[in-house]
Amino acid sequence: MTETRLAAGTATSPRADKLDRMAYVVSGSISMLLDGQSVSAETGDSLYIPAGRPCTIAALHDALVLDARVPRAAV
Amino acid sequence: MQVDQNDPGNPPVSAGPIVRRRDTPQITVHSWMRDGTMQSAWPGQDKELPYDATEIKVRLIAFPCGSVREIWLDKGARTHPHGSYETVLFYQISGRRVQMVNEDSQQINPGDASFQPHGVEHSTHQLIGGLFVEFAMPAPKSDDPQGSWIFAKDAPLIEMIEELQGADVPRAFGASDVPGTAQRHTQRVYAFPG
Repeated sequence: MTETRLAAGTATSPRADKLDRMAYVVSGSISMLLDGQSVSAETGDSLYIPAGRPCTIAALHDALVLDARVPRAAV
Repeated sequence: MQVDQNDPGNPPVSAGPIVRRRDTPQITVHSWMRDGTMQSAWPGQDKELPYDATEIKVRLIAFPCGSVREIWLDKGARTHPHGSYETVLFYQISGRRVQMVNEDSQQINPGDASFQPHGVEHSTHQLIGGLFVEFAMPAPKSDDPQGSWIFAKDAPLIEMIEELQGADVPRAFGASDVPGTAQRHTQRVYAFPG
């Protein structure tokens, strides 16, 4: 599980993970770019990022995001 | 993943990549212990609540790979020892509680995380009302499941500096070698067994 803190205007680099991921916005607001589609999310929203799909998360406001990688054996 | 849709703890699986809090109703569940077994009453279930039932407010979100659960407990609330059929990662957002896992217990503060494999007995006693989040995922049962904790104070924040190279390749640079266009953020990584 990873806790990521992003200042407004910054972003993570595009990254495809080998595992499925679930994310939760603890605070702030973000924009997630997944498969060329952008969705915005704010405090309390939950996200699903399928394995192998490049994803970028950008902070619209200072944000804290949790994400959990789901072990393949668990699916 | 097969999700038992008859279990009231499993809402319909989301087809999209996002589930918004404002679209997810908060429901109130009650739980209590009788004859060594934890009993629960979900909304709409016709059960008489005993005086010692604990009130738990939850939002349940299901994705194809697992579930996200937002759980609010008031000061003094307790859940009784129970095992889950999923492996669960907990992250404390606000409030303070004592988390018991098997025979061990720890005080959990905001930013702390804990890990409870499928089948491990756990319970909680809320010291200060607050919110925690669970990431739940199915997992094979271990013959000797052990829970564990990672405290925020023991997990340092790591500065990540990334610069796009070409199309999609991120690179991290040393502090003296950072272009102005690099993206910066910080991460705290909680690594659990498995």
